[in-house]
Amino acid sequence: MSEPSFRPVGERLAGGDERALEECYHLYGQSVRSYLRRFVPPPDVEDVMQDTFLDVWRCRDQLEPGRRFEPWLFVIARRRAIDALRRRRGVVDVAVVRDLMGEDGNELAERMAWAAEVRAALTLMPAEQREAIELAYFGELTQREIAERLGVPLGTVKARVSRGLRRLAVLVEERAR
Amino acid sequence: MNPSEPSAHVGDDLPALLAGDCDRAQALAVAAHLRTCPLCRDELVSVALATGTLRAAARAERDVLAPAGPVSPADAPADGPADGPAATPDWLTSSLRSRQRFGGRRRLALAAASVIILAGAAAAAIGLSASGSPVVASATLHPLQAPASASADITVTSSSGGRLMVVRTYGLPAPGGQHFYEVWLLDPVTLKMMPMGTLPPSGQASYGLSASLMAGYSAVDISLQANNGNPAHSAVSVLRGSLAAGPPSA
Repeated sequence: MSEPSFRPVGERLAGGDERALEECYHLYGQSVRSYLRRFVPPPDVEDVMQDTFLDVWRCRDQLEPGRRFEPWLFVIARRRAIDALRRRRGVVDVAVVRDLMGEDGNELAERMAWAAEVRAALTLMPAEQREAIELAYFGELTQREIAERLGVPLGTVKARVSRGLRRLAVLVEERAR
Repeated sequence: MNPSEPSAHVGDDLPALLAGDCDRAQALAVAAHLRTCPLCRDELVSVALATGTLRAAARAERDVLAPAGPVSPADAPADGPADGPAATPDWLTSSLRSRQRFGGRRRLALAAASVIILAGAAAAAIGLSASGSPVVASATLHPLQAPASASADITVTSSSGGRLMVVRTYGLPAPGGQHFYEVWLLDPVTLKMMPMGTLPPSGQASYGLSASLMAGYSAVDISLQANNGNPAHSAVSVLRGSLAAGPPSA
């Protein structure tokens, strides 16, 4: 697989680049799967994953220039999850339906789209910076704990986190332009 | 920063300040510098933007992990995915070749064929016989000190009187230049551990051992180890799960 390219994956998909679909799966597959697992019964998750990414390819013409890719991806995932619940025989829990279909469901899909965007941005950072940031913000470790775990001086952790955050801010702002 | 050096720039201290990961003197020293330094104030904007973005992402991931409702017993167990982002699923490339959407039985048939293809490829890669060996135990490993989306599937087969343990991990971050992952067998009662070997960058590996040795362990653990020559378990377990007799539940 080619190196992931954060910014243009949606544009390249819209242009019919087959490698972009593979890259899209590698960048966002785990986030989409985590999202689907909240709503879709475990035996159906992989089927809905498949439906989602095949729809991404089938509907790539809808990706207009300048449109953010991740929210579009999670709109598709949410719709396919709703389809899966509708197809489901037997009783479907009301809380699941409400959380998926209602306004809260829309909000969660948007938040997960942003989280997926952040995860994808992190893949563009040097491994040391990404590792320190993931431990700090997703692992909720203090900088001292990170230093102990990685066996590096505290100052090194401070520098890695600081540089990584500055890089992330640039990526986030670049995408918003 | 060193409070005795009020003129030093404080960029590297800003993440700790925003995270509340500093003491009173450090916080006040950073604040005093920020009031006089436009460069560091500008950097504070970037760090605050990134910090807020990461905290929002982490909260969304936490929220999505909380089940929205009870899962039917018929749906349990919630095993890990049959494939992960480390490997491109065959249906993805098949869909590109065929240029059409597969629906209903055809899609399921394709998925089934994909599983067979992937399983065959995996079997070949790890040296299993084409006919397949009986699966005597299996496990799904769940994250401890790893991203919530990380997981691993363990399959133990009978092989020439011994045991072959196949490990497939999904979603584990790169361990970093001076670290590596190591696979262990674990007896949760006595906490006795046996190292099976390092996990290669592919995240997949197989390990062989005798059936009698294997009998003393009922769980599998994957640790993050520092490349410091210390062969002991680092106490940083990233994934762990219990072995159950037989193949994974469908």
